[in-house]
Amino acid sequence: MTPDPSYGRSPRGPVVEMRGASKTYPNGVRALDLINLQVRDGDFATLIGPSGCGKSTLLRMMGGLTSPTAGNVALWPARVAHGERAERPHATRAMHSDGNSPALAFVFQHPTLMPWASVERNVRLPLDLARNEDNVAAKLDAALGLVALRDFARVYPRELSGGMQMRVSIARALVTEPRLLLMDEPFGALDEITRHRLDRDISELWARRSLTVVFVTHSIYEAVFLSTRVLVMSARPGRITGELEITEPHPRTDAFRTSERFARSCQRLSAMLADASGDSVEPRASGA
Amino acid sequence: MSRRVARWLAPAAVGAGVLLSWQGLVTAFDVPFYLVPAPSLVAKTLVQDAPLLFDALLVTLHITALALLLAVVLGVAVALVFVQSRIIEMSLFPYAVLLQVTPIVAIAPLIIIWVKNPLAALVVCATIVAIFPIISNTTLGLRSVDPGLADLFRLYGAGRWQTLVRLRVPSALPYFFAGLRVSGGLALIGAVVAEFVAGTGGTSSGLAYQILQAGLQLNIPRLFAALLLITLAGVAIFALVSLAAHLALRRWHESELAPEP
Repeated sequence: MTPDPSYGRSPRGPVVEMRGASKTYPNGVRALDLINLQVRDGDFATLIGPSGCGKSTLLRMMGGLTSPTAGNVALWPARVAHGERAERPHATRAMHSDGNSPALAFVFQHPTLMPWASVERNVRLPLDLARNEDNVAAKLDAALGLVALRDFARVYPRELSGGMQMRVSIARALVTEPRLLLMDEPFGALDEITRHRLDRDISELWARRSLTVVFVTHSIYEAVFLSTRVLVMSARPGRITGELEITEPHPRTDAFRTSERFARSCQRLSAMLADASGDSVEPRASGA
Repeated sequence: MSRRVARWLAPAAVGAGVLLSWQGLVTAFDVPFYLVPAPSLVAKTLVQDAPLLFDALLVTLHITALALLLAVVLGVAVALVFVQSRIIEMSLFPYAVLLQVTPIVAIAPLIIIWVKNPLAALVVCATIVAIFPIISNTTLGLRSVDPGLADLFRLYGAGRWQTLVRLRVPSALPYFFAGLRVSGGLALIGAVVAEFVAGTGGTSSGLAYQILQAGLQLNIPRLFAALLLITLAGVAIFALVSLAAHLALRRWHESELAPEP
């Protein structure tokens, strides 16, 4: 087994930091309450919680797609901080040292592909939008290779299965070689077999590259299988109520799924989630 | 019988049946040709008057094509302006509706007086009739962008122009073609109606003018022949626009996918 590459990468500085980040919608609904968290370089951090707990909002905040109504969010290495007044996303401003590729990428709940464009043109979109023309062919080939879709470059999205569409979406996220990859329940709509396969692929990708991942899911098994850290969130207003570290080395295989260590971690996480939802009753009543 | 054959054969059989019974009834009851001409007579007239009628058809098609072109260019331009801001759309959309609901017959005389060049006057009338579906459908299409894709473009810092060309315009295409299909027919109707109005002043030579003249002279077979040409022109325009839509959308849009066998 290859050694876990996330360790020994030093120093493990912060990639994302949130301080007192809260989100209240104009209609008064409090989605997130005083979130403090730090994602460090090389983390595979998973946010887990009941649906409607604001985990997607939290991820969108990291991506700059929505801003906190109080507190702030900071991203490294570009030291882009965006607080209450930030409006524009920072993907273009948070640049790699080569000055070209955005340092962060997002994989949404749905494949979110352009139906009018071939797989190839979908995958190269981030490069096109950045007007990055160096080695496009090589980067494209590499990204398609990572998700095993080289033979499908000229196919249109609707000719692909749901799982393959999701892989195109992942290739599009990886084509810029991002430092931070944000994934919002990417495999939620897929069948379990496909999901397990993609989980394995992601785990492998993460282990092979210097990648930091923040992953959102409501599946305990998925969280345990993938993560180095699991952050447990309470029901609305979402708060982070606990953290579980999973030290199993990467890349993880199906053998891990059936191991006792896996079962133990799932049990602990499940207990933490139960605590979190029990916890949330009182503060919500007093806060309202 | 395969479904593909049936799709063509069934309507063709209905058409043949109608023509045959028409011919039969006209002969059996000895209906005078100045009331209802037999299909065979209409066909004969079409051949006899071909030079006259086809010249007229060309004039009408010329007006229709120019009007449709103008409606597309102006309609898309207006839609692009509308989607720049809600305020602009709110302020101007009611006037686009006004254009749509005002009967062209009522304003055509004015336009013909105002616009000196007779061809230009007719084109303006037909454009007014044809433009609204283009404006409303294209505006709707330019706004109907998948929110996930909009987020993606924002995330990668796409500029206004990039978002327009790479996201909004492709998203709008199916809507635009739906509008174009309606506008193609309307441009022809607009051209014919405008010719009627102008023709009463004796300034035209299009198909509508031929119908008007034939009616006055009780030359009913020629009237039917001209009518047939207008109908065929309308069908041809529809087929052409449908073909364009098919070529543009067949790879990806639901509306143009081949049905499951």
